[in-house]
Amino acid sequence: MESTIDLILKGHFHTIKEDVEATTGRNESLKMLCASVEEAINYLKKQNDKESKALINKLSATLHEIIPAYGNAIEMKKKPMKKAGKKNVDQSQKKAM
Amino acid sequence: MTKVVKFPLTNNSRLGYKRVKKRKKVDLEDYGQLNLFKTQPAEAKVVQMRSHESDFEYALTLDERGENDKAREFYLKAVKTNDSAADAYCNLGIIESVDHNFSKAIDYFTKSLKLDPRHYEAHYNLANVYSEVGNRGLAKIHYELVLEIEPEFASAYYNLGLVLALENEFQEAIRILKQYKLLIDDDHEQVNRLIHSLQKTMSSHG
Repeated sequence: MESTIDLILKGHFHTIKEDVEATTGRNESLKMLCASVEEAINYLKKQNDKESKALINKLSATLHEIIPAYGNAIEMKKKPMKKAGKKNVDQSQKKAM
Repeated sequence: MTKVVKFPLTNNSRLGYKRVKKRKKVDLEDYGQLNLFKTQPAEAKVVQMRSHESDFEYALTLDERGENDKAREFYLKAVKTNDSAADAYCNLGIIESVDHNFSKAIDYFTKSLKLDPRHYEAHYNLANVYSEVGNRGLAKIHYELVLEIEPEFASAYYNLGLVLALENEFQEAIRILKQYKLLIDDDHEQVNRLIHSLQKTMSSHG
């Protein structure tokens, strides 16, 4: 049985991209989200006013809350079921007839 | 006066390549030989031999081949004849869980444990199903039981580590995953990455 458990790990924005190595759509979505937010933050930094600074803080705080649940999930597979009564004899150890 | 005799021209089309014509079939019996192959032989049929296998062993063979329906049938036969019944119930549970019939799977695993309360494969598979349906508390107990019965069964350490991590018991998860690492030869890179992530998470939590 090939089943998955998503482990939700809290982390920091910049380390997320390094950690998530899944090839699923989730990874792609995360990359897109990260890129868009980075763009938005850079734009706001250029504004250099009170309102922008407040927005940057808001964005960072929201990201911190959202990202762990949204993308910082390491896709892990449980070890599969174990059949009973299976002979664990290595083929190479079998004597030739 | 001499007479010019025309040299007969041959038809050019007769020169060159020669196609092979269909030959007339020779009737061997005209030559005094009995024709044994007049009728087409029937299509060859592969017959499975299972002369030395018990119902359980045959079911296991079918199971390995992915013939789940037939495997199910022979596992049930094995149960009826008390031929490795606990193992048969355990493997029936796996087949059901693959089909996402989780309640049926749990039923089979517990039947296996009723026959053999220390059947570690049944405990392990039951833990996997509990984990799958989100009952991590029960999953944890059964993984721990597996490790009491079979302390060298590596997969149970790994899956227990995942359950503990999901329960935010990071320190214990890391300890268990390190034990898993001691028992295996490969897979170290993935486990290291996992342990590293858990350590980072712990430090970010303060």
